[in-house]
Amino acid sequence: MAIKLNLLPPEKAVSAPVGRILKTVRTLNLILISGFIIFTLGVGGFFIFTTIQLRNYNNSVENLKTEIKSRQISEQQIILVKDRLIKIKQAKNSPSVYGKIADVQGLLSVLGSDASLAELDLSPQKIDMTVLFRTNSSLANFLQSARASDSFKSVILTSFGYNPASGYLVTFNLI
Amino acid sequence: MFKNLPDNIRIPIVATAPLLGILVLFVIVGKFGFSKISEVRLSAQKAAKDENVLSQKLEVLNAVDETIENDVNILTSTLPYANPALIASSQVKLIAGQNAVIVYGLKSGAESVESNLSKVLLNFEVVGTREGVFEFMKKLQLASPLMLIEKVKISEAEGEVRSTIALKSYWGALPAKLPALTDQINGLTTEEENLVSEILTYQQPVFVVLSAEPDSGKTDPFIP
Repeated sequence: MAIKLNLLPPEKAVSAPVGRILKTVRTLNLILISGFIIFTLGVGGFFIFTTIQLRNYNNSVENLKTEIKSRQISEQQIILVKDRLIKIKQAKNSPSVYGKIADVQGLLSVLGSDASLAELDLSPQKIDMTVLFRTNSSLANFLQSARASDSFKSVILTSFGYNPASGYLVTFNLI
Repeated sequence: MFKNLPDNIRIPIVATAPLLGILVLFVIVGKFGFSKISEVRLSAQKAAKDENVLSQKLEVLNAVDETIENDVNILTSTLPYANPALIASSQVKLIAGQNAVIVYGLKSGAESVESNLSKVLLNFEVVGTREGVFEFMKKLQLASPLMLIEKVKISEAEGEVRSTIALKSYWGALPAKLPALTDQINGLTTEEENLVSEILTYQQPVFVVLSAEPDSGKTDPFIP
């Protein structure tokens, strides 16, 4: 049977509660040291991993930059195309009479041989039209077409004249 | 240091010291390590974003086909970088001829600026049949350089239509610089592609290239 020997002088011996605390502290020390080593290795490892990742990204970015620089002509062309398209679109949105030409042409197509266009004033905002009708029927026919047309929001008859020799001279304002 | 203290106090203090030391090391390593990691991670995130933008940019540039050179020429002819009054005048006369109408008194007006675009006004008279004049106006819309009719005054007598037209033609400066290398560029949208397709059908101005005169056989060009 093993004999327990304590060679420490009795005044150096620690009391039982202090002994328990010391035991707990030593265990804690051990746990914390292990935890610290794992933590440091983890932080270091993650740092190395992130640094490698950064280096890879930087290499890739540099390669891409070199490739893009070699395609500078294509880049210039696409920038130029986009710039021209923006400006063309902007210019095309400026007011013009193009939208009204087909509408007026459609309306004028109903004028027969007994009617003629005296004057036409076309602007982006409105259309002023003076037509000479030699017969009642041609005037009625024209008015009916203007009324039936979806192209104009309003058709205003601004002047109406009659001359027995020439016929009806009518001015319209179409919006 | 703690030699004067009784053993009951000194021993626990000595035993606890490494514990505190480790805790301090934890804090130091944590603070330093995390700050470095977050620094590198931020750089990596930025690099990843740049890589993404550059890859996308390269993809767009790779998709640029050889026909873009022709598109550039046509678009620059439709919206030139200098006053197109002369070319527009030539187009007006050419289109007039194609629609059997005659152009009179073609005059170029003053230049003006409309937001970032410049425009020039052209005024002229066109004489022909009603059909011819209307077709002429419609064709102007489908020609390069871009020409927009601002005002038209038409008078008709005995089948002859006389039309006074005010037309504006635009131009705009070319882009002065390329965007930064890491700036994103996008390919053409469907709307832009449709606009390009539309413009490609526009009637282009005709330029006559004069070839060099062959040798006249004279040794001294100043002798008649």
